[in-house]
Amino acid sequence: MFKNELKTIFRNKNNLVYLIIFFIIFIILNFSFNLKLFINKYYDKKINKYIDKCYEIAQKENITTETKYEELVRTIYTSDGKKLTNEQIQNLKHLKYVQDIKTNNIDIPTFQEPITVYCIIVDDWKNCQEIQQFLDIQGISSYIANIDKSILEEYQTTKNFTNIIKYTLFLISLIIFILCYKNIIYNERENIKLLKIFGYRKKQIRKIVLIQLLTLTLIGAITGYIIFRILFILINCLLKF
Amino acid sequence: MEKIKIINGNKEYKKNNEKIKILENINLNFNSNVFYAILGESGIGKTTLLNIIGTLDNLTDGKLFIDNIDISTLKDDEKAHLRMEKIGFIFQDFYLNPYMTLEENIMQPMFINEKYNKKMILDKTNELIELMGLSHRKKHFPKELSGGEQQRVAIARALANEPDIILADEPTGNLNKENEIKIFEILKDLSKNGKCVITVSHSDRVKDFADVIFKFKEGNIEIDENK
Ligand SMILES: Nc1ncnc2c1ncn2[C@@H]1O[C@H](COP(=O)(O)OP(=O)(O)OP(=O)(O)O)[C@@H](O)[C@H]1O
Ligand SMILES: [Mg+2]
Repeated sequence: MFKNELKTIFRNKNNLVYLIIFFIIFIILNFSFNLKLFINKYYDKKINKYIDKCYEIAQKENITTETKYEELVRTIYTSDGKKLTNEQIQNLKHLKYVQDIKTNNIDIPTFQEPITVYCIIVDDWKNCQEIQQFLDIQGISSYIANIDKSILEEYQTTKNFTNIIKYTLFLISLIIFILCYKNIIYNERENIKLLKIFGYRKKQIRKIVLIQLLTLTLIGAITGYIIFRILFILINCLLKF
Repeated sequence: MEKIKIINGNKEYKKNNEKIKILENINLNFNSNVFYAILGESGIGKTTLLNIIGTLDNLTDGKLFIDNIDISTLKDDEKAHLRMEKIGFIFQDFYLNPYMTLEENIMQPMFINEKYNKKMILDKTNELIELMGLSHRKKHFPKELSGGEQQRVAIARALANEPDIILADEPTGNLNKENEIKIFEILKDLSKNGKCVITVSHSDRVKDFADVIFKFKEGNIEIDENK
């Protein structure tokens, strides 16, 4: 029953337009849902350039520290000099993004006790702010020394903006889908009338229409996804250079 | 055998708060083995009557029985099943699916018939195509067929589920003389083979074929005695 009904939607040239619309929408949706990925890649590149520059300067001035240069960019320092309890350190270590915690005891002659600075190394520079917020809540003051604050802020606003774009595009796509479905069903009205005359039950007619719509959508989704993947690889290559 | 009975049938439409009476207390019987023709002016209510008999439309008042089943007691899905089992429709403008081949058009009503399996559907389709003399056109689409051929496809489709009742709404309205005669001959044969055939027509030629002629006049229907 469904085979012949499906054939008709492909023979109807009007549906080609909807197929193309679905295909384009799915490419755009794929892009909007992966926009964050592109943004992250772009900022990683920016940060990496920054690290390289630091490394060059350090080599020139013969500065060495315990921390690897690559880690500098994702390190948070505590700034009040207080010692943390063992429990606090364990809590920090168990946080999702925290990779390592290093302790530096610095002796300053005028102080009775040495100052303790903790270096909390996060897995990705993008997660530094979240950890810092956690520290704030715990009453531990801290600072991110090695990245320009403006880059972090810029990154944050761009990220928020991509979320807005994502949901707006999603909403627009949804509306376009509904309009397309309405039109496709409208174009099928003669056939639906015929099916009713032949004695098809309401449920059977609904099933036929649903399968027709799903098939068109699925084909659009699959081709859209394939084309997106190809474009994705191309863009990644471009971002590398 | 009595197939269809309308008792005190009334039908009216409401248009801008104004009631239009189409059928007024009509009583009609239709039997198997008879070729009926319904004649009448345009807009008088012939299509409405066929749609009511075909369970696609309801009487405002009165009763319709098909094979002694009171149609007003049936739910929509039950009416649908009855249509599939008992009624074949033919229309003036053929009403074929333009995106289906001749073969697929004829098959379309058979998929919901629980009496048929896949092989029986194919066999029945071939049998009907042969019966209508369209074997050489099996894979053609409606627009590649002549009007007469298209109407024969529609007749084959109406016969797909072997109904006892054939309802034809001006089946020859878009055909030339030769094709008209051919279609009336087919309908006549069907009635001879036991079916109850009811056709609406504007053509005088139907009188040469029909067994009983009904004249439709302002809400009333009377048998044409001249026949
Ligand atoms: N759904 C409807 N709502 C309101 N009025 C309707 C409806 N369907 C039909 N009518 C009216 O009922 C009358 C009868 O229509 P019908 O189609 O049965 O006529 P007909 O005899 O088949 O005419 P024709 O020979 O031109 O096909 C017409 O005046 C039409 O306008
Ligand atoms: Mg009519």
